[in-house]
Amino acid sequence: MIASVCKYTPDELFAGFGESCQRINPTALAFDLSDQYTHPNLCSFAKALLQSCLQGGVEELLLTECCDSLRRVGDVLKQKLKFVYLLDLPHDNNGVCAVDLYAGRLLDLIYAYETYSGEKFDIAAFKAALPQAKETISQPYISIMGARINDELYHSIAKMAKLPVKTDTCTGVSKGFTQVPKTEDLQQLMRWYAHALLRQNACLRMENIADRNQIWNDPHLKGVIYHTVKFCDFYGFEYAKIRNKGVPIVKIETEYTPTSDGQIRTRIEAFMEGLTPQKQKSHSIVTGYTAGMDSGSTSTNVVILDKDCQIVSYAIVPTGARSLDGAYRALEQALQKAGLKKEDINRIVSTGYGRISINFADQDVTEITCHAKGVYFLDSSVRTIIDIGGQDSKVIRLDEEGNVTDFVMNDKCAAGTGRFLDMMARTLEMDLGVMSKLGLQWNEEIVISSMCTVFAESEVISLIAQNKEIPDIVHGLNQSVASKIYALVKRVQGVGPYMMTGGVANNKGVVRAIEEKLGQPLLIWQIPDLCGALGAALLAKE
Amino acid sequence: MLGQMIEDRIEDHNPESALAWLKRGYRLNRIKLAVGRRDYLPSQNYLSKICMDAILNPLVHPERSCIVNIFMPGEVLQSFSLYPQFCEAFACYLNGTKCERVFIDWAEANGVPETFCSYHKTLIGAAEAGLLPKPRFIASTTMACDANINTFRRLSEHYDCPLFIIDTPTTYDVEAVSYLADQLRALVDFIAQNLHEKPDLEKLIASIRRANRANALYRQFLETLQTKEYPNNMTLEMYRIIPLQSLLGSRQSTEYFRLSAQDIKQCPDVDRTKTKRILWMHTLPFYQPWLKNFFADGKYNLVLCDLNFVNPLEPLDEAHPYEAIAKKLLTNTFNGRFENRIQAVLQMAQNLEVDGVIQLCHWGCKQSSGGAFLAKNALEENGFPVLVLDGDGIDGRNLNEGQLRTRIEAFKEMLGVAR
Ligand code: SF4
Ligand code: SF4
Ligand code: SF4
Repeated sequence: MIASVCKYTPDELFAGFGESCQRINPTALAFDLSDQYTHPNLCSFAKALLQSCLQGGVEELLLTECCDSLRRVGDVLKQKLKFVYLLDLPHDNNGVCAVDLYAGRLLDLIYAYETYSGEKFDIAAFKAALPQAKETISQPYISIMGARINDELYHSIAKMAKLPVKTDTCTGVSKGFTQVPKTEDLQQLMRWYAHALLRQNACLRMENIADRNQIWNDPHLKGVIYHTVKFCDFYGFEYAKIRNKGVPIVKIETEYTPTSDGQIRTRIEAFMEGLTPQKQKSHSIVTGYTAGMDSGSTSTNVVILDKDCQIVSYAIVPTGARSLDGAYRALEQALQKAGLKKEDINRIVSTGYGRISINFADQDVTEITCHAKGVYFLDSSVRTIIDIGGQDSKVIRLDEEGNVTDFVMNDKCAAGTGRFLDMMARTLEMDLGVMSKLGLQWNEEIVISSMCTVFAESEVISLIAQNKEIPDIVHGLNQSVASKIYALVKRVQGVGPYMMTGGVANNKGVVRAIEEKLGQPLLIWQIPDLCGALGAALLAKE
Repeated sequence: MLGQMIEDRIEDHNPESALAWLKRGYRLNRIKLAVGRRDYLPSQNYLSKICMDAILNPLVHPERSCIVNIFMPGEVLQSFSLYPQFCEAFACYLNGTKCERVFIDWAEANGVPETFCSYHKTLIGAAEAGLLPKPRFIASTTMACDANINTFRRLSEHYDCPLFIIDTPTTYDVEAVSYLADQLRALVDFIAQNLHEKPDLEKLIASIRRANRANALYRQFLETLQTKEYPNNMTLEMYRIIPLQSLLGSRQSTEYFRLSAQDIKQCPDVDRTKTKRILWMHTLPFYQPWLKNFFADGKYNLVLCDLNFVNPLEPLDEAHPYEAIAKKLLTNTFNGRFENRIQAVLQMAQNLEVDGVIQLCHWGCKQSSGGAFLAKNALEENGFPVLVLDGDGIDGRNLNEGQLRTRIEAFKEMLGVAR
C-alpha cells in the first residue's frame, strides 16, 4: 500500500499498477523519533506523520509539496523509506498552465513508479478506480473547517453535536469525478486528471481561495468548528477573516495527539450550548433550593440558592486528587452551613473541569455558560467577562440579554493564568496574598518579556540576581499577565462594562494592571471565585 | 527614544504621526550615514546608506513602491525604477528602531497565529496599524516559504491593492522554466499596467546587465574572502541581502559590489591562529547584544551568511531574460529539497575553510528549522562543527539569552579543541 495525506494526490493512479494508495491520518502520543530528525517547531501533524513513519508500517509514501513542514518531512523520510515521492503541486489552482505543469508531474510519477515497481501502468484499471461524485448535505449541519483533523477528535465532535457534522478540511473532502474522457492517450488523460484534481474546493495553501466562500454562505450551515494545528499557520488566517461573517464559530487548536483535552471539550460544549439557546430562560421552573457546583482544578465551589434566588450558603474547598471527593466535601460543608440536608436540594448543576465526574449532579453545563449566567444575574450591564482561574483564563462577550455572543480561552500554555502566578510566587518564595499587595508598591517599570513560563522564570531569577526590587518584579509579572489577557479581550472585541471573576480577581496587583491596560475599571463581586457556581445554581432553577 | 514615540502613537491610534516620526528619524539617520563610520570600510558605509534609502524611499514615495517578499527578482523591479519594500528588511529596520513589538502584538491581537514568522508578523502589524503606506501593488514568489501566500494575500485585502503571486515550482526542469518564464512575462505586464507605463524590454536587459556585473564582482569578492579577513558584523551581513535581492539590477547595488571587491583586497590575510571563521545559516538576530559582542572581539569572525549565496552568480542570458530569471529562481538554494541548501553551505564552508557553522532556528520558520538536523549531520560528517541555536531574528521574546550564552560558550570550547 502507498500512503498519501493530501486531497490533491492522485491516489487513483495506483490502481493502474494494481496497487492501492490510501489516505493516512496518523496521530502520535510522543514525538521522540521525529524530534531526532527534525525541529520540534514543525506542524504537529507533520511531526505525527514523521513519527509514525519512523515507527514502521509505511514503506511507500506519496506526499505533495503542500507546505514547508511536509516538505521537510519528505526530506527526512527520503533517506528512510523504500519509496518516497514529493509531488510538485502548483499553487495556482485556476490557471491553464498550472494544469499542464501538474499533468506533466503526474506522468513523471507514473514513470517513476514503473521504474521502482517494474509494473506497467494500466489505463483501464485506473479509470475504473475513479469514484463518482457524492451528494451534498441538504439539511442543517455543522461544519468542521480549517486544517486537517484527526479521526478521534472528529468522532468526539460528532458525538457532542446535535446536528450532522460535515468535514470541510483536507481530511474530509471526498473526491468525485464526472465525465471521465474516453481517450486512451495517457498525456490527454493526465491533463484531464490534473484539471479535476486542481479544481477541487481550494485549501488555504492554494492561490485562489474565493470558492471557499461557498462553505460559510451555505444556508444549511448552522455553525463552524474551526480547527487549527499547532505550528500550521495557513488556517489561523482564514479564521481571523470569517469570524466576523455572522456564522457562529469556535476555534480549537490541537497538537495531533489522539486524545483531546478537557479544554477542547469545554469549548465545543459551550459552543453547542450557544447554538441551541434555552427558550424559557428566565422562568424558574424548579422551586425550593438549588445548588451549583464548580469543580475547578484547584478548588471546588458550591453555592446554594433558596426559592427567591438568594444565596443561603456557599463553600470553597480544595479539589484534591479526585474531583468527586472534593465535590462531596464542598456540598457537605455548604449544606452544614445552611442547616440543610441533601434531600432539601431539588436540583444540582455542575460545571468546571470536573463537571462530568460529579455523578450526583442532575446536569452539567460548561463554565462559559455558567459564568455568563452568574455575572448577568449580579450585574446585567456587564458586556465582557474576564475570568482568570487556576488552569485557564477566558474572556466572554455578552449581549443585552446576557447571551454569550463570543468567547476565547487561553491556549495550552500557562501564560495569563493563575498557574503562571503560582509558579512565579514559588520562584519568588512568597505566598499569593503577599504578592497581591506587593504588586501595588512598585517604583521602577520592569518588563518581563517572555510569555513562556519557563523563560519567564529564568528572567525572574536573573532580575533577583541583579538586585531588582521585589515589588517591581511582581509588577512586571502582573503586567505580563495583563497583556496576555488584553490580547484575549481584543480577540473578542471586548467592550465595557467589564467584570472580572475567578480566583485571580482577588489579586489586587493583577486587577490594577488589567484596568490600566483596558483604561476602564473592573467590576468585582465580593467573592469572585463563586461566579461559576452561582451561575450553575441559577441554571438549576430553569 | 524614537521607538517609544512610535509605539505610543500606534497605541493611541495615530499612525500618521508615527509614520512622520519614523521618516524624520530615518532621514536624520541618513544624514549621519552620509558622514559614515570610521570603523567601516568605504563599501560598508556605502551599503549602510543605500539600505537606509531602500527602506525610506517606499515610505516617502508610496506611489512608486511595492511590497514584496525577499526573493522577488530585483532585476524586474529595478527595470521599472520601483521602490520595493521587502518584508524581512523592513521588519529588521523596525527592530533597529526598537518598535517591532507593538506591530507583532498588533498582528497577534488581530488573529495572526502566534507561531507565525515574526518578520511577517511585524510587516502585517505595520501595514494594518497604518504605519506602512499603501503601495502600488504587492508581489511575491511562493518560495522561500509558506508565510508569503498568507501574508501577501492578507495585505492585498487590507490595502485593497493588486496582488501578483509567482508560483515557483520546486522541481527544476524545462517545463518549470517555461511555466515560470510565462509568469514573469505576465508580471512585467502587470507592473506596467499598474504604473500606467509600457513594458520596456531594453530597460529589463539593462537591469540584467547591471545585475550580471554585480554578480561578477561579488564572485570576485567571495573568492578573495578565502584568504582575506573582511571585517564584518551581523547587521552588515543582513544589509547585504538588500543589494543581492530587491536592489539587484540597480546602479547602487552594482556600485556596492564594486566597492566591496576593491575593499577586500586591502584587508589583512586570514590568520587562523588568532581568529576562528564562522559561517552562519539562516537569518541573524543582529539586535542581540551578547551575540553582537561575540562577533566583535576579533576572535570570531562572521565570514558569511548563507542567505547571501542563494543564487548562482553566473551571468543571466540577456537574450532570454525571462527564462534566465526563471532559472535563477528555480535554482535558488531555498527552493525545493533542503539537500540543495545543505550542498551549497557545505561547498561554501569548504571553499572558505571555516572553523564552524551556526544555524539559527528562527521561531516559526519550518522552511529552515525543519532541515536543521539534516544540515547538522551532513556538515559534521564533513568535519565542520555545527551549533544549532533556537531563537528569533526579530522578536527577542522568543530568544532566551541565558540558553544562547551557554550554547555559544560550549561551542567556543568545542572549536578550541576542534582545530
Ligand atoms: S492543505 Fe491543501 S495541499 Fe496541504 S495537505 Fe491539505 S489539501 Fe493538501
Ligand atoms: S496542518 Fe498545515 S502545516 Fe501541517 S501539514 Fe497540513 S497544511 Fe501543512
Ligand atoms: S524566516 Fe523562515 S518563515 Fe520567516 S520569511 Fe524567512 S523563510 Fe519564511
